[in-house]
Amino acid sequence: MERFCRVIPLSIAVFAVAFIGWMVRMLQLSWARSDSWGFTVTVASVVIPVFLVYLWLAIHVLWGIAREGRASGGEGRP
Amino acid sequence: MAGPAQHGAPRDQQDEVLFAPVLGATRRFWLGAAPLLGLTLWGMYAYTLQFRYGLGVTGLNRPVAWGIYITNFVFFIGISHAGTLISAILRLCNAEWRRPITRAAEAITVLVLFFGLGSIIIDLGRPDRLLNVLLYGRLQSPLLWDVTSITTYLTGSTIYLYLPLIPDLAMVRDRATGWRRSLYTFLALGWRGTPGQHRRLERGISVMAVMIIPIAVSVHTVVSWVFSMTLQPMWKSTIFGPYFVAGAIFSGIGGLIISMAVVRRAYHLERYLKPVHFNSLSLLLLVMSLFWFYFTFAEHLTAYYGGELAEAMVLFAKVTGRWAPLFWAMVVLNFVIPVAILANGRTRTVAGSVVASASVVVGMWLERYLIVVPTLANPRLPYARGLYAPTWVEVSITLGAVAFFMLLYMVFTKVFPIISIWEVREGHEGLREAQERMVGYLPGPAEPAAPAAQGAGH
Repeated sequence: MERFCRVIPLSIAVFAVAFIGWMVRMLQLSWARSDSWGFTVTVASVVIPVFLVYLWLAIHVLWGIAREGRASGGEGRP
Repeated sequence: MAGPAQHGAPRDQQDEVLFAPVLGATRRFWLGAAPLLGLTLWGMYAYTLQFRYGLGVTGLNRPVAWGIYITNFVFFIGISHAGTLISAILRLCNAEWRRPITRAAEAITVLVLFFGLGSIIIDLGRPDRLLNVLLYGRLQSPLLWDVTSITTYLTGSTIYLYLPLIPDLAMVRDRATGWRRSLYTFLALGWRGTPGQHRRLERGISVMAVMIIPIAVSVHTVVSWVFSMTLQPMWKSTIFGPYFVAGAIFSGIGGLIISMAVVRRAYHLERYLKPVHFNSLSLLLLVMSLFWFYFTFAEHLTAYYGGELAEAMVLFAKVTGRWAPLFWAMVVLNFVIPVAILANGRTRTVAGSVVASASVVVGMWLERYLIVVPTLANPRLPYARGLYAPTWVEVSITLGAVAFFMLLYMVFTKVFPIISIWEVREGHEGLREAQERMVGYLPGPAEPAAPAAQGAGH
């Protein structure tokens, strides 16, 4: 079961990328329609960095914990 | 951070009471869950009626297009401030008494946020069109700011709940058998407590603790903007942001105290959730009660003093008119009762703090209701004034939502340790470090005065 545990960091990473993708889509729509560009840029410039941090947490922290757990080969105690 | 092999057997034995709820369900648990499940199913039945026949089965009308669903939305988002915000602030301040309460607080945040989002969906006449908001949304609308900020907060809070859970999940994994062992092996991410894993975990928790505070504050500010960006009387207010945030923290602490008292009683955790924890949270609740009164007074005084007709109509409808019983009940529940109980050291007991918290939670729901409905019932534009009374469908859905939240919280306490075991142990093992930190806060020994300075003194 331990080999499947990377599903968790992967799911968080995929969600973070999907949300950033949605923000980019909002920017694209806003640009194409010339509609509320200032609002869209402001919101995106706050939200995208936050989701990049979530992406870092998923990859560096959670994936890293899973990788080190496998590398330790069951040594150590929780 | 506790080292990998520092947990002695005596502490393991002492902490068995924390693993007991996770490793098996008692008959008492099912007896508690059954009525909540019944209420949840009743609420779902009511929603199926609303879904089938539309919003005509509710009391919503023109001009009162928002009723108790939007009240619930603001209320649930407010309760969500119990966890992540309080936990993050206490963690960053190194408040040692936080250790047994952070998990209970963070769990409230994540679970209740789903109900906040759910209230919006319930309020929609055509929920099947929800996807259009994502596909063709315009970020000019504060409603879409809400979608964005709540999703950001929910994601962050989930990560912030999950990170400190990992070491505890590994401890449960090592005790569990059968399917439970597989589940916890999956969730524990292969945690072995190596120094490298501890470093990563600690870095992740620290980053999230810093990040989640502005996110939490921004969420309730954005919720308030849904109202204050309009020109409606008594909504267009520059202090609505901080007013909502203060109210959210206020109701959040109330919700947290109640949940702690229930968990303490149900799982016999008196050794972990001590009167000192309730006392500390009660003092925070007392301070927030005073803040709430200050904001409420400022908000209503400016409306009264300005004397603008539309604002005055809403104000007097609240204070002396149709909603006066609810308004004064709100003042008593949010200010008079909590201050009377919590300002007195003799009544600031566990039971006293629970009574005050229950009073605050009900009072804050009334406050949200009194923000939403009276303004819509007295619109600025020359429409006929409206009346609104929730129907049994709305009341059933609301009760069902509250019951479902309580049920999910119960299930959470059965699946995950409700007290952060490794953090409590870390607190025990770090007593010397805490003592050194305390000494560091105090003034150091006086340095011997220089001879020249002594001369100048004379």
